[in-house]
Amino acid sequence: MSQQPIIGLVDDDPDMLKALRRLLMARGFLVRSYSSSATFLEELKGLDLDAVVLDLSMPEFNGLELQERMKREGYSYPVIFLTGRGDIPSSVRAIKAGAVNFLTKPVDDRDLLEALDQALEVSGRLRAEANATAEERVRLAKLTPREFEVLRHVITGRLNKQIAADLGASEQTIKIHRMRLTEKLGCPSVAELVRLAQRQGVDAAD
Amino acid sequence: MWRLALVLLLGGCAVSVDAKDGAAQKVLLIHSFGRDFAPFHLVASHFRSELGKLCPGTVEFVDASLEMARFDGVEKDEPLLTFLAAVFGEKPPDLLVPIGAPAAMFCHRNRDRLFSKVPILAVGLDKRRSVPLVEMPGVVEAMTDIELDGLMENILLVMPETKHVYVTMGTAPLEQFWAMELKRAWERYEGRVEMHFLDGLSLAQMKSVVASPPKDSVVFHGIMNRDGAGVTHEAEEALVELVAVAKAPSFGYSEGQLGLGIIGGRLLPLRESAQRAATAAVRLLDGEDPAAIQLEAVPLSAPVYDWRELRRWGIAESALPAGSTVHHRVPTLWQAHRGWVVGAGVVAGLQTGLIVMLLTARRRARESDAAFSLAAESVGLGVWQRDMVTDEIKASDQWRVLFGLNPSERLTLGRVLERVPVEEREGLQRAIEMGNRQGQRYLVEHQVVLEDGTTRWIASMGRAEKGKGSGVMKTRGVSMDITERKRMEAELGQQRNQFAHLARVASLGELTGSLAHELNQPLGAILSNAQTGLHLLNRPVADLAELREILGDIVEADKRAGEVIVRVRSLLQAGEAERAAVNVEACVEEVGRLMRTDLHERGVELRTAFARDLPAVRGDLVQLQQVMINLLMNACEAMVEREVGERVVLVTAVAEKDEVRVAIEDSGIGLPEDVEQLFRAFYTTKKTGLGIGLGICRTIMQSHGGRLWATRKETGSGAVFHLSLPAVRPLTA
Repeated sequence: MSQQPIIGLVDDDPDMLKALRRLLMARGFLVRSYSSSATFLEELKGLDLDAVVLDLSMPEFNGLELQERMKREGYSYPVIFLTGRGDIPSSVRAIKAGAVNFLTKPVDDRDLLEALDQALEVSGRLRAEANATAEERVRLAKLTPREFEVLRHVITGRLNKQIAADLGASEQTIKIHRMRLTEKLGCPSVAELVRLAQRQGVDAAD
Repeated sequence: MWRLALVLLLGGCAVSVDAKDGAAQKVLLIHSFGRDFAPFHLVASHFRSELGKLCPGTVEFVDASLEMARFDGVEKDEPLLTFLAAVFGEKPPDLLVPIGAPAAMFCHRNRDRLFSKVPILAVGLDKRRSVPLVEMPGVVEAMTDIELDGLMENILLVMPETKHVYVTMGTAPLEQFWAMELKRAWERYEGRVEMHFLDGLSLAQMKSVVASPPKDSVVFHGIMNRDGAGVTHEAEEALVELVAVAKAPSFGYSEGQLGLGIIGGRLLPLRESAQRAATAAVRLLDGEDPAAIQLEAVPLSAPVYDWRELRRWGIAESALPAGSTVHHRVPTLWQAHRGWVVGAGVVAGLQTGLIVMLLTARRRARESDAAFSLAAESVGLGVWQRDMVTDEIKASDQWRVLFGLNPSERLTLGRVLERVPVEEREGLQRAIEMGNRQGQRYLVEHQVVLEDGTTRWIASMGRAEKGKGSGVMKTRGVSMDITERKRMEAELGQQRNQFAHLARVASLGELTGSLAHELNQPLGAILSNAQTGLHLLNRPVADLAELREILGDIVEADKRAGEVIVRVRSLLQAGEAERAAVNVEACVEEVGRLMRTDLHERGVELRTAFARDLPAVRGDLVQLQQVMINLLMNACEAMVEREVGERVVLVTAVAEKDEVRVAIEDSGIGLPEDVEQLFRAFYTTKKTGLGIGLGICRTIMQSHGGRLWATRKETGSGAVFHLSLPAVRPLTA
């Protein structure tokens, strides 16, 4: 990773917040720190984070609630929880909701950094997936309307002859369209085309 | 604007302005039975005090009594009418207040002969008693509305097993009216319970009935001013005698009976109806047209119960209807020691009584000195007499023993005071001098230090006797040893303190889990800072400024952790918390009771409003109460600068989804810019009081699965603290 990863940090205890911020910055992270979960949630839109470190017990809404609200608003950042006391039911709930880790304060820097590595791996994967989808969308946009129509028929699993009949074209024309679109989309097999169409929400022909 | 405010303020006392000639306005109270018969005696006394409060010093009360309402037969109005005419002569009263239906009927019968131009305010009438008086012009009526069904429903709610209801009632016409009403209203419960109306029996007969009732019986105490034998009973005397022997739970109909042995329920709100009547009286005295004054009938009060009776009959508070208030709560410790505390009080009372008796006896029969001294000595009293001219004190041997003085030495006040500890001397001397100057009886309690250094407590009573001239010649009195009583009082006080301490230890000690959280915050900060420091030291060039800052923060966090430990250290050995279903309303009410004195002293008014059918929450009652105590104390402190009338704390509770939310709203100085700093562990904790700091409060709430936060009040200055706690049962259930 060439850029510095950006970590969102939320803890209502100012001493703790300052110490964690300092620790992460010394390790080369960029840190966006908040002492209120509500403020964090308000400003989330303008942030492009790689991972989030949350205190579990906070006044307005606690870490778990914050995690849920983030998910509800479409933010899938990996979350690491910190808690002042080991609380098994909470940790189970957090992990089930997709938390990367659940650490007890005082937290050892190695544990925290390890958890962050893990989190960044997750966010890297998420980013890569997101990038792949974006790339596919670009490729899909390159298809001509006719090629797009042929794609909708191809993913139903029909033969060229049938598609030709459906679209009122010659089999040869369909073959050419099919070759072009597989080229443009970079998917040699029908199976891959089907998966791509699914990911991008392309409807199969009736 | 100013002027308007002034007028409003004076509104209650506008009569004082009217009474320009300086003479007080006269209010004629006409009693139905006599001044001391229930329930009207309380209506009358509340009315007097309320009206007196509204118009201090400008109203004069004149009492007249029908008396004969107690008796059957033709009403004999003539003597009373003649009497009243003679009393008032040319100057009629300013307001006529008949109390109770018989008095109202008297006014109706004789309206033309009874100051016919003076407005009438009829008090103590019930809707069910149709009294033609209220139809007449110039009459305002303050009525009550006793729902007779509600009285029975309450019995069946609190004691669902009830099979027999014994109703005690008198035989005067008014009492018979209510007996009939009750019989008619309760007809519909036939089959479910058996009614036994005891009217017509003498009090003694009633006592023997209620002393051995069948299983599942209750006693309902109605009005009892004249029993079947024709004997009258003032105030609630009959009730007191009946409950003393009753082997079944007692119920009643009026506020005046609560605390005398009835369990409680929705009762006739005597004070409230008197209050309303008093405000109407002010308006009438102020010259307002009676036709313009309409008062709504006052319904039965919200349910109130006597805690002691609930306990006695094993009734759980959870069985009481929603919105109930429980009075006469007695702390467990007090209960455990009730016997001897009451005993000590009785002994003290007896002693005082004895002293008074002896003093009187002494005055009446001076010649029987010897007999008197003997009697005094036999109960441990020392007798003394001081000649104000020579300052010589003559005292019995017993008295000299009490003060550790030699039997033969000459005594003066100065010599006696030498026995009293220096710090008490001045106060004692002042009390004695004041008593002497005013020629009153005085009672002082003080300590005496004996030769061997032991101290004892002495109570002395004295009375000045005037000589032939104007000056006081002699004072005489008695003294007694009250060391034992003082010791018991002190012990009780100490045990109460210990109890309070234990309660605190128990609840705080149990908090260790949540305190770990408080401790782990600073420890976490220390660790992270220290490890960052180490990491920075590994760099080729260490940033010394940054390292210094880190070390400074470590020191601060460490101090904070140390404070947590200091605060908690002594509290760690306590037992386990009890998690049980807690009724939030009862919990708040209880806190209000615990803090009643505190609130009162600080001039703070506590108002509460609870949603109906509030679900219970699960938690430790003591801890939750501590949180509320703390929040209320904070509210009080925030309002110190306010005028006394504006110091109001409003506690509300509502159910929201599956939690109960309590809001504590004050009208104080508000919140700091950074609200969260309030909750930082221990930083804002005061050294004194019951408070335990908002940090711990929040931790307590979190350990209950709840939350605590603060917001600013929406209108006006002040803070609102919010508590949320998970409800025990879902609302949909």
